[in-house]
Amino acid sequence: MNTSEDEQAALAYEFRRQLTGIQANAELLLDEAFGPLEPEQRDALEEIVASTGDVTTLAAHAFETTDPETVVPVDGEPDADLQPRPTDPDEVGEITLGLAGTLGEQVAAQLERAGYAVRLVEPTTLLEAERAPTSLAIDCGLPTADVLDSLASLAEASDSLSLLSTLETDASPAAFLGISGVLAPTATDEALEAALAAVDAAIDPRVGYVGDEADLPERLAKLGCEVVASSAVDDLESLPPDRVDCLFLEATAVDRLDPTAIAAVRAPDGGPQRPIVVVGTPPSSSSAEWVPTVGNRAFARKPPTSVDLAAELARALPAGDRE
Amino acid sequence: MSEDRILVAEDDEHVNELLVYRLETAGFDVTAVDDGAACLEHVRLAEPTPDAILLDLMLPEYDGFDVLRRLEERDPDSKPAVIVVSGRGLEDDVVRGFELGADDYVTKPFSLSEIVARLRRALR
Repeated sequence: MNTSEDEQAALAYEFRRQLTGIQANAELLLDEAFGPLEPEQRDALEEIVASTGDVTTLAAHAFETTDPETVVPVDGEPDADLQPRPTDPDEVGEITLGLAGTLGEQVAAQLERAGYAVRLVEPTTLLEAERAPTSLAIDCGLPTADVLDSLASLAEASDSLSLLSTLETDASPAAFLGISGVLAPTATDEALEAALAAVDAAIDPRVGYVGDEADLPERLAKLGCEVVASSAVDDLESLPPDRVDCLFLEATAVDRLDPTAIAAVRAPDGGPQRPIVVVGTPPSSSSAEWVPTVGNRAFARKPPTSVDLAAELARALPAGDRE
Repeated sequence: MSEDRILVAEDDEHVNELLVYRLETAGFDVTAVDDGAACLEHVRLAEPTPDAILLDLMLPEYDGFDVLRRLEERDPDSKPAVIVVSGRGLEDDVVRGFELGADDYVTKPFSLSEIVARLRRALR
């Protein structure tokens, strides 16, 4: 048995050990060993026992099976190497990862397994920081106007910034949005062209624009874009996925958007994810009209796994695939 | 009410207490130890010997597999029934447990009622 299998077996053992106490105590309570139960208490305990069984099954699949097809969808093979690894971990400082919950822990574990030093923090804490660390990856949800300001500052100050939005959809645990950057509404044509270049828009790109600014859609059209614009966020839901190459979303529209609608347009089934440019007010500390996200901006796999995400983040590190 | 004697060999204090509590409630005469050496010593010295052992595999001193090997050396007429109760759920562990003489193998987390049912079946 190799080291990786030993680690998985040890992890499975710990899961089972901890679950034993939960299930056994719940059963004792259900047996009324410590006194009679109200119906609601009984219901709650039965749910605990059922959930314990589900977690046991999940743990068994995750740690005790060698069949990759049975791995739970939220995460990939726990012991898979990150591929590719273009950046030597020794050349990179600590990666600050602003990802919440289990996914954050899984991604951090994957990066650490690959030799990177990782600091895992809450995304909101990071956004409020005055100084941006280097090599930053952050889950900003679907960014609101306030978040965009902070993101623009962080994008400027960080050597490597990957912005993520994780959305819950009915179809998958999370669909990842990559934010290509923040564009000022008053951006010059030069800045607009830089933004279009950043999203790898093809010649005569088709842009889906959601917001109230009349000027920007017109200027994008003058630059050769085929623009499908709407101020009504509901129109985004009716936008066929094959009609746009990228999305420009105004910050105020972002605040009103239905996350499932944006996810559907962003990542149509079987197709690549469309990049997103957020149109918002630049931070007061920056005079730039286009603040790009340095590094990776899009994650095409669905459902995403922590291995995939960690590999993409590793590619975004300095000396890696930097834009 | 059963007067079968059960030896619980489990190093996790909380799991040990839960098993003892449940088994005593079910009418068994229960002794608990928390390492493999104490388990073997109790089997060797106790009069009468336990009728069954609930054996964790990850025990200090001697692990559960070692305990199973040593118990197999005993006279079959005086050998207790052994139910392995372990957090090691890999197929290899289960097979090895049976090959070394376990009468049953239950992976954690377990149902206390199931443990009692399996004990009663092993003791028949």
